[in-house]
Amino acid sequence: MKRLNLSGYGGRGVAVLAAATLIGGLAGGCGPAKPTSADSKELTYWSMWKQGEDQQKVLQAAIDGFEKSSGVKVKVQWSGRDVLKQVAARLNAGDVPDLTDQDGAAIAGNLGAVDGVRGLADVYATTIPGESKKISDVIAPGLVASYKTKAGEPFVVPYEVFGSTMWYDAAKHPELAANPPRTWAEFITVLDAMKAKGRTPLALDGDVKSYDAYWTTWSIIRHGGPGLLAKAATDKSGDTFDNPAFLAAAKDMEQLIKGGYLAKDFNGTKWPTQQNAWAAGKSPTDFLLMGTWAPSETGPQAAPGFTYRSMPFPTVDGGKGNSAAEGGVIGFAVPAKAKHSDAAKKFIAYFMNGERLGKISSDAQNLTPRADVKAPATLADYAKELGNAGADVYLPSDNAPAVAPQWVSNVWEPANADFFNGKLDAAGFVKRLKDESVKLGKQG
Amino acid sequence: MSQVGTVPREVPRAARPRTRGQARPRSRGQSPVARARRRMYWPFITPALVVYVAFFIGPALASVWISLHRWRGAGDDMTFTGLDNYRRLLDDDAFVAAFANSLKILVICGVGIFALAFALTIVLRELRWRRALRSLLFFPYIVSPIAIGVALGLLLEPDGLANSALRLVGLGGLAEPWLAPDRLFATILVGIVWVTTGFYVILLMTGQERIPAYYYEAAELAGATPIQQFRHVTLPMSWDVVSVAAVLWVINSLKIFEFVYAFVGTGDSPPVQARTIPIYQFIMTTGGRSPAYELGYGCAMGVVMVVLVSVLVVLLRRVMRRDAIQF
Repeated sequence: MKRLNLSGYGGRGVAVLAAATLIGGLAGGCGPAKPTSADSKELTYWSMWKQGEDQQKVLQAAIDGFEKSSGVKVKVQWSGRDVLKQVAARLNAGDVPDLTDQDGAAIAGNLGAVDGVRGLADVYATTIPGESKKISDVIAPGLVASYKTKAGEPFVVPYEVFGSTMWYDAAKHPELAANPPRTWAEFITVLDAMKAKGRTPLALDGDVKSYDAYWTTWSIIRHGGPGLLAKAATDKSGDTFDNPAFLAAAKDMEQLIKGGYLAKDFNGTKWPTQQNAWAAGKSPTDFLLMGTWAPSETGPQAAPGFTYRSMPFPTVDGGKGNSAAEGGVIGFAVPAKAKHSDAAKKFIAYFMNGERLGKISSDAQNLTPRADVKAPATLADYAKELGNAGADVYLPSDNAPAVAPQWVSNVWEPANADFFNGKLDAAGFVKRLKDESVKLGKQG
Repeated sequence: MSQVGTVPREVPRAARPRTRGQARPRSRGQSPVARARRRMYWPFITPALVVYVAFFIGPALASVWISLHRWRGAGDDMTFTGLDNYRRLLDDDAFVAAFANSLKILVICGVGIFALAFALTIVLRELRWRRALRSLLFFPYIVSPIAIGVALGLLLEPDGLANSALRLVGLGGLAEPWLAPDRLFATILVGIVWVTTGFYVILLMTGQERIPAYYYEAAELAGATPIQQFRHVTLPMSWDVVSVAAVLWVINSLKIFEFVYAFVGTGDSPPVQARTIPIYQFIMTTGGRSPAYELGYGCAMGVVMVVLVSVLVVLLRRVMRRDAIQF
């Protein structure tokens, strides 16, 4: 099965940006490379996918077609998720690939932060081969708004979109499919009804602290709106935590933690035990708050007839982020020192053709950034959720790992773990976040 | 040489022939072989020296230099920050916790491993199938720590084999969520002891097997129990091996990384309660879910670790210094 599988990496890339920001001021030394020859006959592509993954197959098929139609030879290396570390290591030497791809935040953190990528405004202005539209016509600018060079050009061309949402099995719960709970109060009512039937409705692999934090982040977003968490993460005074949204969110979470809704032993098992048990129907759980890779990741374990549907995280009274959806991208980038950037850009444009990009949806079962490409059935709900959010899209983890990785590793995730393990109450959780953020801030 | 039938005692230090400080013999008086050997000294030593300097001394010195900077390592310039990174280490609760964990592994697992290894050495000496048993004990050490970590993780799940077995034999009350955050580190300590003991048993047994059997025969004739035999024959006569094993443990224990990582899970970086110095170093540089790309800070941790290992090894060598017994 295809795995978008950002579960282990989603935050990683994002994370990088922060470190970058810390030294951002001195990043200017590494300017763009010289213009390349107008007509390269080869290009080197290092990809985040591994041989045999569905995305790899889709890309390989496109590469084969591109080689035939353009006469450009593509030297591809399927490097896996750490590809950008390899690219970054080559930045000093100058011997970089001409094309690479990863999570947008990872590209920003690894390459963007040190001016290691080219602006791709010209690619966005290109007419897609075989179509009449330009790339800028089919990609919503909001998706790449955070990924811009100093000159203001976008440096990522996305070919996949992902985000977290609330999953359930529509075969088992037709009532949810017909009438999903929309507000927090409705959600709790549904949970209570499930609990009354002896269920622990919320599946959670609590050993992955960022999965605990999915819940908290979503709740903070709903109460306080996108960007609040990232702001708090970088606020050395800690004052941002006095925003009532934090306590309100923490109280909602406390209701879940103390209410007996979470799967038994959720923090004593190892990922992916709980999510697999949820899909297989081996635990009395009904909801899984998880990335859009959930269907492909748990699919092989799913009970017969399992029908993946999702609903947005419940809204809250007077919430500033009630219409927000989480959205991150995976896309192409061209390293600044690429020698055959013209060929790389040609390939990007070639791949963005609806038919070829469409295979990311039809074959790899992932959402593409093109609204005119039909979403895979399992992601139709999420595609709608994202579409409804309009410009109110927040980056994975509200971009906190990108702007403050040390805060995420040492303050945010441990506090979430202790909160979900019942060691902190709502007020104690917010206080700890504030105190430790202040302490971390003092370290510089 | 000690006499047969008596337990050997250490050679007094004063009796040891002194070589240090003596004038080096001049080459003129040497045999042709010795002269040839001297001539070949540098040609033979140079390649190794070059490799050692290039891949060990050089990077180590570079680490010290980088530790005085703020640097993310990918095409950016370094900013000199002096000792800031070291000051930051002292203030960083997460680092202090990781440092404490590394020391806990060193001491707690060290005591456990050597106690078990000594006990097994005593028991195994008597057993007929000791070679087979020894191999069996060694087995966990050769399997990838990642595989062991993952397997133990499954074994220790709330409904895993360990708890099921406890419930089966009526000890359900002892069943625990072994991997819960509060218990995780203790479970890891036990896991490390289990995985590592076999290696030290092999080392100690190798030392023991060099001891001529007649010492044991004599000790038995004198009515010594196995423990007394261990104390008066095995330990003093394989002291050099024991001391090497102890030094190895100091070095290996502080480097422990992948075992904890595998144990904690495939999807996430270890919680603060279970991090060791190398794990924290990894998270603060290029690894984990939210790598911080603080290469200067990571190098400062590396320097602290090298200093720590060096101090501990020197201390240990001093404490364990005995003169080798000839036999």
